[in-house]
Amino acid sequence: MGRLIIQKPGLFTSIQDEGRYGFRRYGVPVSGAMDQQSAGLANLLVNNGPEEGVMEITMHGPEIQLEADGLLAITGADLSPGLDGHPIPMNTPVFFEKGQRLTCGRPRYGIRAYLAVHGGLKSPKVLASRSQYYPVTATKRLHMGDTIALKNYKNATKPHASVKVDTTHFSTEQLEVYVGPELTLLSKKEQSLLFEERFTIGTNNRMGYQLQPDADLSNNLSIITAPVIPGTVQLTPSGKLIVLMRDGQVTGGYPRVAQLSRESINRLAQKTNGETIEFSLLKS
Amino acid sequence: MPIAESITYQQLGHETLLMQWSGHIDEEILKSILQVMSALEDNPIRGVKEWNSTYNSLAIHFDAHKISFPELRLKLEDFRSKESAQVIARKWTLPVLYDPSVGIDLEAFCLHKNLSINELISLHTTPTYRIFFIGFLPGFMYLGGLDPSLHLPRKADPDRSIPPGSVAIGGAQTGIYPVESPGGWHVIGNSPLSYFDPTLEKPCFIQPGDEIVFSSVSPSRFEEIKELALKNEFNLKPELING
Repeated sequence: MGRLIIQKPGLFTSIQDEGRYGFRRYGVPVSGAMDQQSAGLANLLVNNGPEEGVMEITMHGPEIQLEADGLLAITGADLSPGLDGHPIPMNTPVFFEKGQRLTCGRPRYGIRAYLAVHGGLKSPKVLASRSQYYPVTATKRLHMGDTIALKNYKNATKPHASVKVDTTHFSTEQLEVYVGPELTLLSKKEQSLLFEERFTIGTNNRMGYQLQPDADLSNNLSIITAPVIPGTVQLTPSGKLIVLMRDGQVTGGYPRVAQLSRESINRLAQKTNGETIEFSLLKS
Repeated sequence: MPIAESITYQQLGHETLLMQWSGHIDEEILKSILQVMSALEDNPIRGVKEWNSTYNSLAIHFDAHKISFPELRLKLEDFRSKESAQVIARKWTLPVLYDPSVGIDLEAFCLHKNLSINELISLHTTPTYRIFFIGFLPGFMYLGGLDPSLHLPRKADPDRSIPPGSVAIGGAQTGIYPVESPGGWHVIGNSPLSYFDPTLEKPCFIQPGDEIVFSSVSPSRFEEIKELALKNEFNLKPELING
């Protein structure tokens, strides 16, 4: 059994998988990779099952010592990954050798990158998932000195898969949404503002993204606490929107005005402060 | 039965069905929700992954490859039309130390409400509270039954860090912070038990429908229970009651 060692943790690096299902009744969020599409692709490229843990890397990437031979792939944001200082291609399976060091550099597009290793990243499972989320897992992210077990693959077969990624995943400002349960609490005028306005992304993290509209959507609406899921768009009294993401709480007291499609959640996960988005309404 | 008429079924996203009862907090609605959850538990539906509830809503999360929204809705309507078993609930007595040493807002709260600490303890420990659901944080119970004289709007500036076990009041609600977290409620005491243990398959010992009473303990008893709880040696036994 080999391992990788975190030499430098980067901005926010954590192990994530498809999510933690079955525990929402205890108030445990689903968690899992923010951009499930890119994470899934990373596993596919190294011949892993979709349930394997991947490393989610946010903006400023970690420095990782690889103490095993094997196959890796990096998908999602292009954070200029390199092995021993030599650039490696995105969205492609790449061999690595024991002793090599993986680093990241200048972000080129996107915010979150996914590192998958053939055989999976074998961090411990807690409540059926490897996704890091405090207080379910001891820590919410990886720290300097952390090690993750890896299988040693001296002679891994390189899959023939070569993927051309659709870059609109990163560049589009359109987020497709469904009508939310409380959309009808808004006036017709406010509803149309919601689907015509530009929103600017403010504070954002794995729990949620704040969106600031140009128009005034301030209101006195409230609902008694109701179930929410990743992608639920809440309207706060100030008029700011909150889009709940993977670590978002499972219940909430703000009106649920829209619901992001699965694809839109993945796309929003690749955006950060200052970027703008628009909603486009899907017929369900 | 009037409750049945006002239930709506909506889809939220790709794989969640929302059952919504009428929009208020009511023990009858809770009973109705508990009955559906009990039916889901006893009659597994292929494709249903999990469910969670709030005051007046039940979210059922399903695998769209295995069951469709209309199929699931039919099955749920079927549950509602059948006679359902009595839901057995449990009544827990939770030890709490009401003291400024662990309740950082206790004195300010009492001052504001013009109560002595003993009066507050009496008002907080007298009611039998109902657990409506768990949400907001892992293990955070939403309780009904707080005495109106203890209602106090949450702080405008939430505290950065509320310690685990903190017993608090916010608005018309009271509850326990199971883990350290930022929060805007007023912390009046601390309960030394483990309200969320992720090493257990069932990380919370309480569940919706259960009843809670708070019981005031001395500082020395608090330390004793804390020690035992850390070693998993504090056996809290509930009373069984008919829901």
